[in-house]
Amino acid sequence: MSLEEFKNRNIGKQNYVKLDLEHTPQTPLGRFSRVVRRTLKGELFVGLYVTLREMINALFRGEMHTVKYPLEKLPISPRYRAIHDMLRLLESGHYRCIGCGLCEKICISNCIRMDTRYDENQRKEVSEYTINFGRCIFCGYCAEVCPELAIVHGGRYETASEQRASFSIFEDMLTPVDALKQQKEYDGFGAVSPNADENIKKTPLAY
Amino acid sequence: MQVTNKLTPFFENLNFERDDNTMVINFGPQHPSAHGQLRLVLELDGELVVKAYPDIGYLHRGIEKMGENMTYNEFLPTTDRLDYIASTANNYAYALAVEKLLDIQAPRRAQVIRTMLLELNRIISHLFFLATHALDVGAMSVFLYAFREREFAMDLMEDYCGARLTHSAVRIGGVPLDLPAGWLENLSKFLAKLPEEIQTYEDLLTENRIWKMRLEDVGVLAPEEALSWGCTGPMLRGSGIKYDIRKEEPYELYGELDFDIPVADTNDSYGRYRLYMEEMKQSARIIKQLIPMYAKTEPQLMAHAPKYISAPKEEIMTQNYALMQHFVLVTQGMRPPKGEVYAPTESPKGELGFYIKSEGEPYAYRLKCRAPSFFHTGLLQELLVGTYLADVVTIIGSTNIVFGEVDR
Repeated sequence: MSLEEFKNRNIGKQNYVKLDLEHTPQTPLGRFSRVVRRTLKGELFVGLYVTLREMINALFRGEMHTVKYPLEKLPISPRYRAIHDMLRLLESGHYRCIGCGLCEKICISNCIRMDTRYDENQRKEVSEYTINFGRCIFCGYCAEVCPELAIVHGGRYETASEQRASFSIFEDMLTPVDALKQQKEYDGFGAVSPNADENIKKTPLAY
Repeated sequence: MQVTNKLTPFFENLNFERDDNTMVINFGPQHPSAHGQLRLVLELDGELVVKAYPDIGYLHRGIEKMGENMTYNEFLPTTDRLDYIASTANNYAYALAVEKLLDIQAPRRAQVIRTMLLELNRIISHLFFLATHALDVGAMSVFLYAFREREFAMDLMEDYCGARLTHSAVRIGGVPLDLPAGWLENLSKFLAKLPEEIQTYEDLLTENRIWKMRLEDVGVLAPEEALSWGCTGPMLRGSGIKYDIRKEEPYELYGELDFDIPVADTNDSYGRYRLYMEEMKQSARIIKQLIPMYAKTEPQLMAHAPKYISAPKEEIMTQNYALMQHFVLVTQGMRPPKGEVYAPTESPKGELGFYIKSEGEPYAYRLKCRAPSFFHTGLLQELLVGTYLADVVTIIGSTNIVFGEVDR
């Protein structure tokens, strides 16, 4: 938009609706009649009725909207971004992480540190992987960039701990081998599209 | 007090011992009704405010500078921390500016989802405004009821993007995720319940004599003043000026949607309160129109621009070229063309826009955020003079400032 056009826009010509508001009366009589009108109005009883209704709903009709937190817990959504999980391959049970370092690069608060080396089979293995949860802002970018769906967010949201190091170790985040059957794919940031099967095309290189 | 002017106030060397009858007090920076880290230095004559200096900077994190040292994608979660009441509005404003710079457009489904999220965020933000404003003025039940509804709206955000406050729910070129199964039904349920709840708040407040006494003719902002102080959003429309960026420079799907913009001409806090209530209803109306639009869209979520935007995850996992491109984009960042861009959006609080100057590098040469609350904070030094100390809290509540975006 050029400056000329910008200045000649039809501002305020669209559907704007003026609210029906009462202006303060200017005459003494008008002010007096407003005082009388407002004094005799029963709107405070309406307010009292509303609070009473809410109280009765909460106490006797089972519409209490609070929970007793440590005893009762609300379920969290499957996409919730809490403490990370490292997933394993379902077939072999080996961890999915290939040590590419994308999560370390994208991490906005620089809280991921990893180290890799070649093992005896000349296969890259992750020798060290830590996330500093004191710095992590749970933006979900690590899960979003991971090309192997290896790092995802889990459901552990109560992050208080006696020691800072307690939940930042690779092995702690990794799915336990015996719980491999229960391992679930993460639905949130970085998940494949719901219609992924249709989207996949054959690779251009015929092999 | 030293002789100072508006440009160089000596906040450090305030003389609190006064010879005349006036008194200088500090309001904040830790005052519970100062909405964050606002420090107001008030000169009082009895109960009357003679001078008011808003002092900001207690929450300064250098976000604009951070934006110049991060790649474009990396900066997006940082924008969550501007106006943390409606994070998606910030994410969107930033993404829109970058998209304008890259000259790409989000696919239709992404646009529908974004507009839904923006309006849902507007409802969340306005409910928060209502709750804190009512609490500041002394109506505690409204605070509890409004926060209850806000929790349900935030549950919807959590189901979509996995966070309740710092959403990061928009990406440059689209949205990261499709709506989960059953989300639209939950949204419809929420929207069906919202008018009843708004009626509850209105029953408690709109006609209430105490609420009216505290708000009517308090914080009167003349239309000329509102314009000259650079007010936008409900502050401007509360002064009777018809200006809403959703209507004047439509972005996203607002051009196709049918909704009204309320305008109040009493210029006072009460008019602004009524305006916020009406805007919530209009937001609900917008989302209702968007729900049938969603089903008619193609499933594509991110714009197809391999130079700037990574392919979808399934392509990265199957296609070699997409994977290579993804690695380049993550490790080096996208390199937008040279140029500068400013994209205004109507955030719940007013005009929120990002100015980006790009030199073709993966980092912005200059990134500037035009946040509405900053201007509304400056306005306080004019608006508070001549009011009583008890009204200061009402006026601050009515301007709806959030310090994440004032200090940046």
